[in-house]
Amino acid sequence: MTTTTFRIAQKASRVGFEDVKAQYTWRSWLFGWIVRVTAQVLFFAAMGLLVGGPEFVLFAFVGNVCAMAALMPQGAGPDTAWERGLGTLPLLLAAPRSMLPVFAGRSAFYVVQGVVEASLVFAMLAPVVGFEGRWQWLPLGLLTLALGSYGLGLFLASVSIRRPRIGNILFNLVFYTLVAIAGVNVPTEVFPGAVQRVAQVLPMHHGLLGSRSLLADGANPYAFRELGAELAIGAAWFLLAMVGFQLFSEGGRRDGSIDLDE
Amino acid sequence: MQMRLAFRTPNYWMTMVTTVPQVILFLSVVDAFDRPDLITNALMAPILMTMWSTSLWTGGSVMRDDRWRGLLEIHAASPQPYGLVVAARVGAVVLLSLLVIPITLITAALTYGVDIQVDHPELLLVTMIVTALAITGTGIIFSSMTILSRAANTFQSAASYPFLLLGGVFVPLALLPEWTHPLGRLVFLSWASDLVRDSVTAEVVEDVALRLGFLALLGVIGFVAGQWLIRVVLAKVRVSGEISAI
Repeated sequence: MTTTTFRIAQKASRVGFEDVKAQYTWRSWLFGWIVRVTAQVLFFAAMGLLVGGPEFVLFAFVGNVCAMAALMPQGAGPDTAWERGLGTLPLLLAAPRSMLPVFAGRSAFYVVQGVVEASLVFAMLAPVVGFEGRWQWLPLGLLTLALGSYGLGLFLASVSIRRPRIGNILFNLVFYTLVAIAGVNVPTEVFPGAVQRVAQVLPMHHGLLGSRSLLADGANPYAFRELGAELAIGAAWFLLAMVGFQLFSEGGRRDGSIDLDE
Repeated sequence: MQMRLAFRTPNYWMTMVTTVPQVILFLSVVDAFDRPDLITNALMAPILMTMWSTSLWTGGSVMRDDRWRGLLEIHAASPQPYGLVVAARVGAVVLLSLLVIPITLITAALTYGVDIQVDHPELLLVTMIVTALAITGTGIIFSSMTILSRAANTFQSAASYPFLLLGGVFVPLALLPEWTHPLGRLVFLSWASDLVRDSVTAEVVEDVALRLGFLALLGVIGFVAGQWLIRVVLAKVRVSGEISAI
């Protein structure tokens, strides 16, 4: 059963990769999307020119590079929801297996995409902002952040597949809320206790703490503990996504609400 | 009609809803560094970001939506210039995007207790009207691009943060490196954001007519370029037979 599940996820990831390839040409990716994410990181890092000084430029720079690694995996929601409009859901419901490995595999490439794009933006801008930390640890931090966010992205997918029109709204609301409170631009400690508790059970907060610690001091137990917490939180959201997809498919089978259209 | 359509468009609500965390984000930065003098920047940034994004995403989809609904042929056959129809519809969307102003002020009041006083309310009003017109003019360009390229989504997305950065919506253009200034002055948002900031906080606002003139001029250039692009695009798809996506 595990082998079959893995094979389904593997084939679905191939479909997802082809999907991403169809969305971009190398020109539109480089001069369109990469220009956008680079400008996004610069936009927030530049806040340090107005407030906080060079130290804040670096804090916001690292935070926003890390956020870029989380951006694509969290975007699994809207893409999954669009599947409903494509008419693949009735076929998946008729299949004997769960739809989770299909959707988990389908958007798995976003983890790779997030890490590659964030690394590229980091490499381009690090000399500009005067970054002098232990950059060699960055990929590990970015991969952890991307994986942690992927769990949440799949959970958002399991919600927005019920109402595909809310997919983009939900994703943007959640992503920008995390950018605000997870410690991307200012430490989470500046927010009231309740907000801090919310940030602690969502991805990005622990991943950012771990990544910042790795970049500053290299390998250390605190950094690995925080990255471990990020992965655990991602796994918890993945489990919730599993439940969400299960409830959705059971409900759809029972009341016949899943049609070719939304 | 476009207003009713936009109200039903998820992209419109996406940009409106995103405003709330963005207001919190900018206010948290200003608050963390104890800089109440920058509250205007923190409020203006999400307002201009949302107005620009709405124009890009909802207004920018006008032509593509018409094509998908099979309406482009009818517009192409009509004696009325299609460019003006698109302009009016993008304008309607930009008008709706002004909802971001109460959303921003209410969020700021509820989260950080912000109560803002405006030193030159008339200038602020005029600036916002001219800015909305300039956003409309420039937004038309992106609407026509959705027909020209299959990568239009990517380019719509690419027009967001570079414009916002060079437009100085949070950090004024004057604080960015010197070499960016000539480029930034070609972005209408840089004139708009400086004027909005000054109208709220400056005791005396200098060169008002000149600055408003540049803002309006860049909006007009965007409008003219957008109208020309729409004519080119319609002529191209007529010849190539790609006028219909159905």
